[in-house]
Amino acid sequence: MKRRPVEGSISGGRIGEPAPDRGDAAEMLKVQTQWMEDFKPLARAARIYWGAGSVIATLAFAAVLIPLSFLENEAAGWAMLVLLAAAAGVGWWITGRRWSSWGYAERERDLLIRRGVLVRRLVVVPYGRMQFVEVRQGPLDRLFGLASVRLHTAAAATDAQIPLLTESEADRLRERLTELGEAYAAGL
Amino acid sequence: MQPASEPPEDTGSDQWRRLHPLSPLLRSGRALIAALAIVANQIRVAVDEPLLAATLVVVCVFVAGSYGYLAHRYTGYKTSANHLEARVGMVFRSTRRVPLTRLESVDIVRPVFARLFGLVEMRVELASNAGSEIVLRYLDEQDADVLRSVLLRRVRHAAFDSIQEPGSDARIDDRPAERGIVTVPFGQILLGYGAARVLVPVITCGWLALIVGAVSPTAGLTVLVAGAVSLPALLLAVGKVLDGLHGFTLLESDEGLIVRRGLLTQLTQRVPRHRVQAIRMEEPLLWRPFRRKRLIVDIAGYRGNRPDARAETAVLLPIAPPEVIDLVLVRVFDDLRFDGSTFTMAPRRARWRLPLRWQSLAVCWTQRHAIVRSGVLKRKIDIVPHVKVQSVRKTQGPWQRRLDLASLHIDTAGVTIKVSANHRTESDVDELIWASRRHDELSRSRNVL
Repeated sequence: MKRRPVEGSISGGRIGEPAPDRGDAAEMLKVQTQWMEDFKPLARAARIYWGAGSVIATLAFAAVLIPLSFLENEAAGWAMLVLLAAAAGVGWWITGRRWSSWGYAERERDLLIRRGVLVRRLVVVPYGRMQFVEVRQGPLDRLFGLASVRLHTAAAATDAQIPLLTESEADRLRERLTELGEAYAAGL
Repeated sequence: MQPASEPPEDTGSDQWRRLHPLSPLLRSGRALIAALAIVANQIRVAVDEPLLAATLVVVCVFVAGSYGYLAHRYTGYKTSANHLEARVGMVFRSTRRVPLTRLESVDIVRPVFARLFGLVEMRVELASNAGSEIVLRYLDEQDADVLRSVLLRRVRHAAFDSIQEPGSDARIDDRPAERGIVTVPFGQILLGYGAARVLVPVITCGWLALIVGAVSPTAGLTVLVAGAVSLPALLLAVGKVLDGLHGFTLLESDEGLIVRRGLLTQLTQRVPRHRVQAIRMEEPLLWRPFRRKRLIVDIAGYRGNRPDARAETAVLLPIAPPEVIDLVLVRVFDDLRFDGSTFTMAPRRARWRLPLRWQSLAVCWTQRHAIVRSGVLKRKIDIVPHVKVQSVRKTQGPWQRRLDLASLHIDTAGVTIKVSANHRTESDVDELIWASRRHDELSRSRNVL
């Protein structure tokens, strides 16, 4: 038995269709522009960090494959060189896309983190739900002066992590989020 | 409401109190049965040499009895102003001392053998670690009640401290009044849980044997034999489930709901209202003609503002008709305004992504709750209060981006119920997130938990 769905109403309007004569136009505008915050990017050094990582990986392949193909014949060798150079270029570009897809925005009552190129993800974590903030720094990160910030809520599935910020920014975020977390602290 | 006066100290609270004298006998119950079985086996030998057999039996009884008696002397519990102590064992002694403020729950369990003698087992669980608990086997029912009320007073003091506003009064009862809500008749449980789970595999096996047997009779016979061999295991598993749900009774107290269930071992589960993170209504395919549903809750503990490690899932109603489900739902979420009809379905273009399932996806956002429907064979309706939402996620894969769809995921502190509103219009998802945050903030500003 097929039942026609009854259109529910959220904040006074119909879902899935733009309401032409919505009472609260200001409200609608807020909803539509809620993601157009100023998302802060990761540290610039992170772009080089990731880019360099991909180029080095390509070089590792090159170090093995190019001499082998040159051994075959010269044409194959040059072809392999060109191919791997192109791969390095593509890798650089992809890490660039990846870097620019990361963003975080500190709003009035919550934190937004967005990431992902193919699968785009956005997580909204209210300040009151933050249990604690963790700053992590691997050995390589320390070389570049980078650190990553991770938020924990009571939910295990909360995936709120900002990798590779500058150390000062990571510290600042941790202080600010801990403060805000305690200010807005909410029970379970 | 007047503040409660301090409870009178338990008489003799400085002394070690012993468990019931029959305890060692009951604790070694299983060992005794095994021993008796071995003895019965050797009955032939006993008949031949009655004197030897009798001596052996007497010696065994004496050894076991004296060990049991001595161990019993050294096992006991003691409550003081701030602690509960329990000690066990004579050779390998172990003493556990628990500050009363760390107590989480005090449960009374009635294993079948203990019940014959009017004894109960008391489990005291601690706040932090699921592993650390004190189990007292076995106490006289009256002693258990006295101990439980003493402990619960302290527990409730602490719990009230963390959820009440400072300065307001709290009424702390000796024993909260429990009002029965519903008892699920065993016939329904048997049909819903037993019949389906036994009949479906049996019939499938039968059909499989027929089909395979048409090709080659020996193979068909093999299938039948395999099925027959695994039948006892199946029956045992189903029997366990049925035993766990036997006599399912739902009661209500001031703090929340209480579930009592079990045949061989009676369990009492407490569902404090403020700890319910999400509720799921499930309707398996075979129950649909009878309009029966099941209710599951996710409970997460907390102490003040910090969460506990203990989160669990409890069955609130194993099988019930719609009227009872509505009744119980309102008891848990008393501000739930939902009549099951104002669902908004996923857009038509979701059929390119989930051709068979898209029509079952629907959401309904009310002022206080987020309600998501999903599932074709086993229909699920998840209800999460906006104030219990820990974080909200929006995801969009490349295929979804093509179709201008996105998915919404709600993260709660519960472990089992994962709420996702999949494949809705992207602007829908934005609006749902916005509304969820708005309703959450409004509720909090009105100080509604």
